Amino acid sequence: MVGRVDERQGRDNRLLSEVPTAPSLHRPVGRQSAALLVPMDDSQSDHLKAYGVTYRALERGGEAEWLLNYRAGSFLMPHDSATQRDAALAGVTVESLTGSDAVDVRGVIQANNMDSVPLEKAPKIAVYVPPTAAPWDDAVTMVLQYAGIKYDRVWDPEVIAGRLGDYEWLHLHHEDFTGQFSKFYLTYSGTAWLTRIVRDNAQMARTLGFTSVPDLKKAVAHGIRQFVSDGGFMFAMCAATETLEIALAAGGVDVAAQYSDGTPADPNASKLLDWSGTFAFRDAQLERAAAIASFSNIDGHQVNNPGRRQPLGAFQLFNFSAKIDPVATMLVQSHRQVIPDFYGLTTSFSRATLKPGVTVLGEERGAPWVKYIHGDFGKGTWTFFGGHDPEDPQHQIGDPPTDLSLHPNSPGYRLILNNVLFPAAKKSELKT
Amino acid sequence: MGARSAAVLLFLAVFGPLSLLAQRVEGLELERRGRYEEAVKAYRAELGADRTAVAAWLGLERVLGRLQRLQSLIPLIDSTLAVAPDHHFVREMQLRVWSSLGDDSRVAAAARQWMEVAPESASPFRQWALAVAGTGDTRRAIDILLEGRARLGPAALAPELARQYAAVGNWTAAALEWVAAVAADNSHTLSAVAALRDTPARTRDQVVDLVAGPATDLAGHQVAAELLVVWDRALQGWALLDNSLPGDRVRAAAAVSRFVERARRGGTPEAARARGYALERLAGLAVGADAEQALLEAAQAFAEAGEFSEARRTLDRLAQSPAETPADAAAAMATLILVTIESGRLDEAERRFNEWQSQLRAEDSERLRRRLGWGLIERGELNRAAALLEGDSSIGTQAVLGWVRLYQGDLAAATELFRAAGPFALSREEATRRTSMIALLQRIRSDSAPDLGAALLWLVKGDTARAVASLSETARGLPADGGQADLLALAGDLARAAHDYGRAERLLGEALAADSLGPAAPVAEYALAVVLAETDRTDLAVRRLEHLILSHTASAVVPEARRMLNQLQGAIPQS
Repeated sequence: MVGRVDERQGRDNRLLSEVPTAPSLHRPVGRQSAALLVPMDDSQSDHLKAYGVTYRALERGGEAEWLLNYRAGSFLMPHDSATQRDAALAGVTVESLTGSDAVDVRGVIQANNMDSVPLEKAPKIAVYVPPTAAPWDDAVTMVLQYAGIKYDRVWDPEVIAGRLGDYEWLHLHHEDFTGQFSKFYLTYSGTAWLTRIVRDNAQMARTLGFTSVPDLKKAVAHGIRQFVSDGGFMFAMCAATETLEIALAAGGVDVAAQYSDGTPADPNASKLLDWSGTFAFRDAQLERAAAIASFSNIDGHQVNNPGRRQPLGAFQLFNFSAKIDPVATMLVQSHRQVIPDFYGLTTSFSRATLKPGVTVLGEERGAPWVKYIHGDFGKGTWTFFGGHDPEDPQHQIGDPPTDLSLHPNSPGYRLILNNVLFPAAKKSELKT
Repeated sequence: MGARSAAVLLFLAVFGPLSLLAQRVEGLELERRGRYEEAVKAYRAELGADRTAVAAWLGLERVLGRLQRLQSLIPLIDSTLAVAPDHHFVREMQLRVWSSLGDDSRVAAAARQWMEVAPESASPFRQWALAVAGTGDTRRAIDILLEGRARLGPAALAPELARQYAAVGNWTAAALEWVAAVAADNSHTLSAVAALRDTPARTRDQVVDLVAGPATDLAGHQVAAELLVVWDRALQGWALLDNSLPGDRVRAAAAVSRFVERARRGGTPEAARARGYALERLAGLAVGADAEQALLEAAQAFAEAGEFSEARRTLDRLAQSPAETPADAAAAMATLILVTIESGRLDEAERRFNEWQSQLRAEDSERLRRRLGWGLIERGELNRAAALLEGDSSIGTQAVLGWVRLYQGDLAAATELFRAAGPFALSREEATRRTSMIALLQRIRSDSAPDLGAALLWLVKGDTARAVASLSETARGLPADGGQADLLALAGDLARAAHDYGRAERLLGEALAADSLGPAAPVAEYALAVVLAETDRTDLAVRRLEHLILSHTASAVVPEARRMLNQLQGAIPQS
């Protein structure tokens, strides 16, 4: 047996040595290339991996600039062979610029609603996700995997232990912070996946000394709020947005159905919620029916509420002033300004429940809801994006995972990646 | 102001005093624009004129819900019920509003009042139970429905009880309720199948036993049979239904027809086979042309399932029928010839084809000629195949004739025929195969190569090992840049597909050594990466793919290589 292993190793080594060196990549003949431009307009063959190429360039200690509104938010990097190789492998379009080309680009930026934001550090990323979840369960982990951006998984123990401070950027997997298992408990009773979720969460609550899952999730919500308050960047999608807010507003009020904590929800819970410590919402009414997988009237679309379900439209991104408001501009960089909407447990955010001061980044014109919002909290910032999967608008439980290699130019997924690179911007640029 | 809003206002201006329709349009438009207070006024105005305007009631409920003022709907509901106490829709709304307001005692009181004004109606119990179930208290909902049953009769509210039992995971109780529901009214059959199809696998046999128990009638057996089709056990489903068909031919035929339609949606060979048996039974229940049509469809279903002996048996029955119309006879013969080809009896198939050719539909004739041609190719009877195919100038048949010429070693004729067939003849896969072969033949730069034809013919005959050996031997006789690398790459990929990884690796390495820059190189390198990945040498596979992508940037293989690289690196889910 040992001999066989050795034989295999020997063959592998021969093969390694037999892989010839790739030829040098194309460079413009007769012109000295000074920089690489990663265009993000329609000439880009893979927008999503372009973010990965930029992120890895920063990770290697390199520098980059985000050219806001220039060719739909392109990236400019010093010419180096590692980045060029990375782009070629990823199928990302890059253009070599001479020094004078780069000067021309800066001239265009200066004269228009554009700006250049230096990116100086690859942010350290954490994703709040149960350890057993596959990356394909969640749009953010899916696109991070696809773009090749590294992230750590954290869950309740790490949050409770205060270890979020080790990270700059936190994404919340589509968790139900009210502790009601996404309110699927009654509808999907007996299914293996729900049984596993209930078991894992209940076990974790016991391990961490909480009497119930809703109590544990409230504590986790407060840990996340502290992370943002201390200067972290938080990005949440789908039900994590709405339930995080409800959990923060709940305080000592029982908002969870009887099946999740053994006691019925307080019938006056909606009136007792305190929204002063939440990020984005106020004065929402909770959905009391335990069998309806909807949490409150924060969600405008109510996909699982047959009498109130709203059809999908399209949302439009706002056009901000790049030089005056670079943060919002970064978050809306896209080669498409109008993007088809997509459902999630929380699809959108009712205008009526938004706090004053919340920045709306994307909305459906004329509809009583918005899609994409952002704001500051303490020293940090948060961004909420409604919906589950930008390329699977009617996502159902059990659907096959989205293969992003079939959607390399997805404008919806680009918005997620804008948020990932946003903390890479030089701190001074982020203060507006 | 948006165009839509402008259109609404124009409509209102043109039609002057608000009609009911205009009020409703205005209410909806105001609601859509988030102007809820004004929408409330519009809906109230409509209800002021017509208390039966259901859309206005619903609009008001929606908007007041958003404004968190559902309470204000109560006086309107109460005043409506004071003058029309049996107004079904408003009664329903009353329950729903109190439920939304979280006042369970008012929900109960409203339901009791409704029962008093409509003592024979199941609706109060149904709507009350729905409201209670909506709060998550399914057990209480079941109690309410059972109370209704006690008052209204043993089969009352069975579908509602079935749904609530299913909601708490009690699938056997749900099944018993559906039995009662379909026994009372067999129009519930479809609902019963739709509701019970989600039964967990471990409970399915129990559910079938209950639904098709000795005490249940045909409708119950029908539900069980259709459930088995849905659960990919179509043959079992057919056996169950077949054994419970009544003597009444009309009822039996209706039940079988339903089963046939369900099985048609099954999409599996087993479902097609079960459909074949059911159609054969239907033929026995019908007479004349209907019976023959059923037999013909049965034969086609068996052929679709790959059950050629059953298809033939059915066709033999059809052949004995005296009332066959010429069109049916030709369709039946087309199926019979196909079955005969698939059974390997090519001589008989060819004889029948020649006899019936003039009566077959043109597309059937072409299709059968090609299939027969391929059958002869697979047997190595190339001259006979050529003679058969030469009689048809359609581009699809010309494409098949191109393969015959290739296997005969006549590369020039093969290339010409493939080109003549163009890119759209036959399936897309077949067109791609032809295009790839044209590219290979161009690189070989020879008009004739009997060895190559013979080597490729082994592949058609299903002998991959001999094909690999012959192809590699032929390749070594060709110039390095004159097809040698291409044939070695093809042989290597075939060896890989046959899981002969050692041989595949050697041949692919040889192909790369023969020509590392030509068009065969990325193909060979990709195949080599697949070999490495399939033998758990992921790191080496990744290096191969990276080399391929960086070295052959313009190759058509690059997207595939990138996709594989993504999969090996975990960037996309395994497909």
